[in-house]
Amino acid sequence: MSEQKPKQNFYLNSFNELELARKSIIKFCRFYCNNDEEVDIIEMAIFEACHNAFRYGNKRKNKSLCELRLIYGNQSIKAIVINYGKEFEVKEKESFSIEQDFLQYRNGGLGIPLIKTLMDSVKYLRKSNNMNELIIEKKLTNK
Amino acid sequence: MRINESSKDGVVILTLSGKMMLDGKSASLHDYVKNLIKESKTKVVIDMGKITWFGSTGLGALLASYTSLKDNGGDLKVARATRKIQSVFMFTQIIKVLENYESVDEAIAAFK
Repeated sequence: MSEQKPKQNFYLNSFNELELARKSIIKFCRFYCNNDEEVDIIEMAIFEACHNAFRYGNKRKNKSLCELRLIYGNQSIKAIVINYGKEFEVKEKESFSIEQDFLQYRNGGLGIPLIKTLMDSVKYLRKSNNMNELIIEKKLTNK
Repeated sequence: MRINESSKDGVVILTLSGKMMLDGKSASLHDYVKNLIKESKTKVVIDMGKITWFGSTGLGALLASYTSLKDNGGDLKVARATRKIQSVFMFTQIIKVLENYESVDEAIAAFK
């Protein structure tokens, strides 16, 4: 791995900025993972988490609407998504089924179940100053 | 997201294009399908080949459409889902109820 380490921290204020960051996010994932499907899954989960952050977050002075930190360690890629605003509704369930969860969908609320289904670990921390921290992690099967 | 409607062999084909995610428009897919049901059009193929982004909003719209059609004696089939969308179908087990076909014609043939 002699190539330059990819960008790890992103300060995002809009969906367009997230779109512009897509290449860098994928580059980070590909730096550690050579399985295209896993990269796809991680990318989708990160985008879902960031979209949730934009959708439910509030802009704070001197803060971006969404902060994304990417970390590699212990054969895993971890993404930390931070925003400020309304508390997320995170179901305690660790796994979701097509019959009991996804087909019961009516109006919203599929974001966290989708992320939990795609990733190996999802932790949600509600912090002071209305700060939400979503930590999502996927173990890699290669390298 | 845009929805373009056509039909073949008594099956409605909805060709979706653009982003199926949190733009406030993806939910319109379910409204569109509900209107088709009112017109007694309950066999629907959704062509997803031009979808550039698919997230929980798109997933919800697709599942709500599927459930509404099933509840009214119809069915929904998906054609040309991209690799990423197919991954979501697989991880969420949606593949158990929503099979993806490589072409619109194959999806239409599956109604016969």
